[in-house]
Amino acid sequence: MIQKKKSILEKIKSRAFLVSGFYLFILILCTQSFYTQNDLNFGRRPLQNLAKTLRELSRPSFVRIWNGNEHLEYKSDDGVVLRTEDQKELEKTFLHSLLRSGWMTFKIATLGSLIAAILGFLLSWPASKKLKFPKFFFWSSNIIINFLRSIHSLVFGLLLVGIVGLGPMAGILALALHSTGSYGKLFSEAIDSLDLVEAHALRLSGANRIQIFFHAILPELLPQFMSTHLYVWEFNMRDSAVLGLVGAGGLGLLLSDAVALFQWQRLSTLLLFLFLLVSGFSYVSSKIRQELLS
Amino acid sequence: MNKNIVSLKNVSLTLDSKKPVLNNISLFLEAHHSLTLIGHNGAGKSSLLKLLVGDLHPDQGVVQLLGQNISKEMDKDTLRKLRSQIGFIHQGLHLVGRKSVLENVLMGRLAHNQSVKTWFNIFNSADYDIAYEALKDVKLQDKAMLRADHLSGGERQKTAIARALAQSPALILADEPTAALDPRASHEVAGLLKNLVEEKHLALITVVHSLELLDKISERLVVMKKGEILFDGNQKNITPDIFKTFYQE
Ligand SMILES: Nc1ncnc2c1ncn2[C@@H]1O[C@H](COP(=O)(O)OP(=O)(O)OP(=O)(O)O)[C@@H](O)[C@H]1O
Ligand SMILES: [Mg+2]
Repeated sequence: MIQKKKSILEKIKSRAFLVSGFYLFILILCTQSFYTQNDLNFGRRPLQNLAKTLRELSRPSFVRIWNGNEHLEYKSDDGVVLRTEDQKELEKTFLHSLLRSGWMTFKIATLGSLIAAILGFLLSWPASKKLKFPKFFFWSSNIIINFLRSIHSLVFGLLLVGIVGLGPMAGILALALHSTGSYGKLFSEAIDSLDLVEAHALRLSGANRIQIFFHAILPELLPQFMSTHLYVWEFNMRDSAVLGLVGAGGLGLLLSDAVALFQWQRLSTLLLFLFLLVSGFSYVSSKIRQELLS
Repeated sequence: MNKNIVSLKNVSLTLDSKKPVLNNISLFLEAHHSLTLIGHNGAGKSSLLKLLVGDLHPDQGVVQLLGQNISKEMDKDTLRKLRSQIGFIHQGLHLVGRKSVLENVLMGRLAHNQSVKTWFNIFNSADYDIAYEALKDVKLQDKAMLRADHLSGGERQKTAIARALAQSPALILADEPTAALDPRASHEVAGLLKNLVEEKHLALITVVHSLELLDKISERLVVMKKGEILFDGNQKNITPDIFKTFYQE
């Protein structure tokens, strides 16, 4: 008996050794490959560049609504005033469009997530190992889920802009497609971890299948599903902000503008806003999730 | 007319392993009667109960419940109807933790009320009356709205009994209804079962593991050992010494 235990321990140890050895091998391979291509360098003046970027970013543009110059004059070399700019007014307009884009991002994330949640919900049942659906449904739902999951919403966004045109619809569909995979995966994992004894007990009391589903299966799963929904929704807030980069509407549009025009101070405002938006959402959703799963 | 509510004739059951779980067992129980089943872990007690509700099927022999044959090939609706009349208190209880005590008890009505409304937790007032009555029977009416996973072990046990009662059963199968209870609670639950069964003229098969509880539940004792029936008779003469031999190798 003890002998047996020992040999099992040995086996575990040697397997752990093998796995970590393999991991080390991969690490060395990657580093070595980069090194020989001379790709492991930080550019010409990384520190100066970093300092400059940080300096710009540390002066977010939004402070101009208080201390902005109302008569900023742009002069030509010989001192002629070409035009004057009201920085306060300009910043106000920018913040306005920021809020509007933030709202757009929220709407895209919300609708995209909802569509994905519904599709993922439908796919997750046949995809679960536990429920033993016919092989065809099991495999096809799993293939769909993994296919969708493996393609980033940004890529879907690029494709969809070509199909449905620029604008929020491309964003909604891009998020919906990618997250259908995430929902399907997370939901079916929740189903897999379900203990079916309660369902079995109800079956033995003569209840029919649909009754069992509503009374013993759904009540156990629903809190997990809702928690997953909040989680993916939150995730999609971030993704949706980036989707604007490919022209799918929302904050990303402003992001790409700011980057293209080297307006680092605006970028700084944008990033702060994004941070507040996402962490605010995250705070509320984690509170709700705690409540749900207790 | 066969008035046996349960009848097992020469039943053998083999699961994964080559050793049979049940070996040529015959057991009969009349309506309105009770018996207590004891035996070592793995003797086949739970398996025997599962045979009765068609959760397992024998390799050999005949299983009858309420006068009807239970078999793999039987009509699903007939099986459902039979099951609806058997209140099964499982070894692990199997309450739905996130649901309230009352909702768990109402689940006992599902087989009797298969309307679409029950999918959304809407039951007839008659169902509510029966469920509430069952809760009163186990003196748990004050905890009706509590979540099942917030109950104490004894209360969970009583909830499971109430769910079985809510089925308006002819027979109750109670698989170790006093497991994990302290001695006082065990006696209370055992006494409760016995009284309820007598009051409502039900038949009862209970699995227990302790000598003190035997006379709290029924006169008739059936002892199982390694898939066979070792003793079937009145428990009155069972002394602690004899009791011990039931568990010996
Ligand atoms: N589904 C199953 N598949 C394979 N073997 C099983 C299965 N269920 C039970 N057994 C085996 O059948 C035997 C009897 O099990 P059973 O649960 O009926 O015993 P028991 O008398 O109820 O024991 P306990 O007092 O521990 O509850 C055991 O050896 C068990 O391992
Ligand atoms: Mg058992």
